[in-house]
Amino acid sequence: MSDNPRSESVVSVRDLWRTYRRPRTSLFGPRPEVHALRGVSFDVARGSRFGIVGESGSGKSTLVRLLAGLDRPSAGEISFDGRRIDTLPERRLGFLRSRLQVVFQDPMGSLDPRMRVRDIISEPLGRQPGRFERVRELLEAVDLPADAGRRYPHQFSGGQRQRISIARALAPRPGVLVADEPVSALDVLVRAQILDLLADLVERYALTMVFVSHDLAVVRHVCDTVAVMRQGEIVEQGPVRDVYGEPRHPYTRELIAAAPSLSAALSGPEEG
Amino acid sequence: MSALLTVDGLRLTTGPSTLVDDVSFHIGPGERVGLIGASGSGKSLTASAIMGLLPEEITASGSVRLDGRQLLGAPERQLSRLRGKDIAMVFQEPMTALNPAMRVGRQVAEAMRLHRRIDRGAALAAAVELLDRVRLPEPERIARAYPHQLSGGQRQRVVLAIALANDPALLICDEPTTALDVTVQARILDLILAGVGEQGGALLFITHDLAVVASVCERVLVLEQGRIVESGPVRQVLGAPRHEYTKRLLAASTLEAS
Repeated sequence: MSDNPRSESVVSVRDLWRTYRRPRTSLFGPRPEVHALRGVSFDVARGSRFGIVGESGSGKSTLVRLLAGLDRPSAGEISFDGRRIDTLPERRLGFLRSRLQVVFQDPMGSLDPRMRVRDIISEPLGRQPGRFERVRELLEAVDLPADAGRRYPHQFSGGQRQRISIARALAPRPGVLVADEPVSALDVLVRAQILDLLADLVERYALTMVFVSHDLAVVRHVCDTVAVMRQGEIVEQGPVRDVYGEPRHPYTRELIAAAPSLSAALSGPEEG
Repeated sequence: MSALLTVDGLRLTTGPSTLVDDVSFHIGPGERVGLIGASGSGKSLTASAIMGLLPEEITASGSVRLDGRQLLGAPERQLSRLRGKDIAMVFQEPMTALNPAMRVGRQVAEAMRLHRRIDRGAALAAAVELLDRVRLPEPERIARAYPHQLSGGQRQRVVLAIALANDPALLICDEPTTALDVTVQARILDLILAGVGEQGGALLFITHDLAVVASVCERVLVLEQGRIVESGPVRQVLGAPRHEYTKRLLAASTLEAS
């Protein structure tokens, strides 16, 4: 334990704002503004599994884009390993691309259908020698058969395609993996397998994981720390045990109460 | 008590492959039955067969009877008189179930006018009442809106209003809340229960979410690759599953939020 938590954090976000301008709705009025993020601050400790949970429109996806350096904040700071990334020009973000990787929700939308799996996975490595050796390692790490590299994305099921995106994300040996709704498009049985795989990989490669989801149960299962977002703000954050066990903010309580619970339904009073 | 819906030996095939095999079950009047299984297990196809909405390339055999009337192989003219009146359906994606170019109030009114002699003004007034019944705020204003002007949850309320327009004896819901936020889902589930509860309608509820089925249904059927592998009261099947597949579904679903 350190007295100064910031020295331990990989990702540090301070008072982050992102405002979009909507297209003009009238000729003379001002263009309406949408505040996607309104003063968000948090620290992701090295080696932690940091969950971001929220409903649609809460600003989760905007936040992911900013963390990955795919978009710029309107105000505020984002640091990666103590280095400001919000002020760096695109050409100097190369270090971030190899140290922070993203797995997206829809594997079909993020895999080029005309590329062979081995080329997809090795793409972040450029023309590095030994890249196909690395592909073999990665296929094994995500439990795909060795001959998968020669095939194309459409020849795989949804769960297998998500394994391919995970392998690609791990290719440059990142320290941080950002998973944006990685199991939301998957079937229940497959969902559990992919969550187990992510947990194994985080453990094996000592990764820090930022896990974004609308699903409270999944976040509880995967993460040790959680931030609850609503309408561009973090309304509550802390250890998963505390936030789920004793939610302080009314919105967190509402979310937890709204999530259907199997055990509660099965142990509830008998139908009259 | 005689069954409202009786499905007997339902078999759906396309070319050489069997998609649903020897599925038999019944639903009593006012009963709430869940149909669960992983994707590709045949849940939605079974619902389509009951509604008479199977794709052309699928061949059906067996029997589907509603109040004693055979639906399987019945002429379209006869089925379209039942659909929306005796059996109604709510799908996962409300945007595809609504006409994007028609005001919402008119779409609800049309659903009534298709099956009842009722003039336009009275139907529109009844539509506003229905929109109010599914707890849409300012129902008069919503009635004049187009689907794209509404949120996902509001659209699903409109679809539910259309489904309830003629007090169907059987409401089929196919993953009605999968695309919705969790707080919205809770409200829609309450409305579905209230909607069938008020009129004593029966419910066939299709989902992959065991927690949802446990909160909504009394009885559950577990479908694996087109076959019912286990069925019974929700508490029995999900509380003490006997089949390996049900156990796997449960193990995958025991991530809990509270």
